[in-house]
Amino acid sequence: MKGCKEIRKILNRYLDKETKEEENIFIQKHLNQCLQCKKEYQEIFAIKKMLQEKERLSLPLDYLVFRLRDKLKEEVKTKERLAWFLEMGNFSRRLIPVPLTAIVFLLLFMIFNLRQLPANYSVEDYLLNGYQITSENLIELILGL
Amino acid sequence: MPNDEFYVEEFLSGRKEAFEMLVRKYQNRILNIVYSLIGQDQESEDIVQEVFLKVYHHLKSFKKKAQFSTWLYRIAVNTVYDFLRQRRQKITKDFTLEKIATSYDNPQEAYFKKEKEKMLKIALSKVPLKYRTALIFKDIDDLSYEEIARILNCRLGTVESRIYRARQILKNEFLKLSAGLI
Repeated sequence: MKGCKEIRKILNRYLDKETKEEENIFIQKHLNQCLQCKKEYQEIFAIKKMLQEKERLSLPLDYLVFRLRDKLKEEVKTKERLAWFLEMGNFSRRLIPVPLTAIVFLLLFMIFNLRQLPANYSVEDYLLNGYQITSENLIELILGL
Repeated sequence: MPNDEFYVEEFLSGRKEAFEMLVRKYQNRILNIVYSLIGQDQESEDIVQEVFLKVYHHLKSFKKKAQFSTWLYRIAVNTVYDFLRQRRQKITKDFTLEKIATSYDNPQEAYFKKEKEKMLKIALSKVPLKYRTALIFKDIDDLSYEEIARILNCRLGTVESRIYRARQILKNEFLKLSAGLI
């Protein structure tokens, strides 16, 4: 017959009905003879019973279903909003060359026109050396060339 | 009544009501496991919702090698662990809300029952999470060692030893608390 040490090892399994039939016979026989093991068994049995009788929470049948429906709708809306922003972002990115090209053309146009026209104005009428400022000089001065 | 696999198939073929059937079937079981693990009933509802949202989004990737319930419990455990890791809370000290109020004719009996619940909650909080999880699956949801091993992805012997340790700690803690009352 198995000793107390061996019995204690499988006592929890016995309590949880996880032992084999032959083990059950050994354990039952031992418990009838050994007060200490019987006490141990009664203690763990009480613990198990207490947990089994522990208060249980219960949700109304459709409570969670409704909560989930709302949450999923919310998720869909958020996704749609995000998709719209992403779409707009892509669209804007596709449009970036348009203002860039316009700026380049504008600059070229300005430079070309200013080169053509004789300047009838100047920042100062004369530079230190007394030359008249042409539009070309002006641009070169601005650009630091 | 159709089994879980039927509802999973139905959901995957586009019937969303099938998912709701699974929610109705498992909501209280998951709720009580989550509640027993974290000890907070208000937070438990949110966690259960999160669990089912994860199920909804990942059901397509569910491999039918395991049972649906095993997969669901695994998600529940992981969600609880994540929650506890984030909050770094072991268990609440809030005992205010009791969802199912059992009516007792005898007020003394009701008082003792309530006290016992409080003590159990405190004692459970002293049990390390790994052990507590195995014990709760066994005693709250009455799963077999084999099912618990599958959910927790460990060996049968590990489940057995975790349950043994959990009961020993719970017993000692409960005795300490009871002694404090006398």
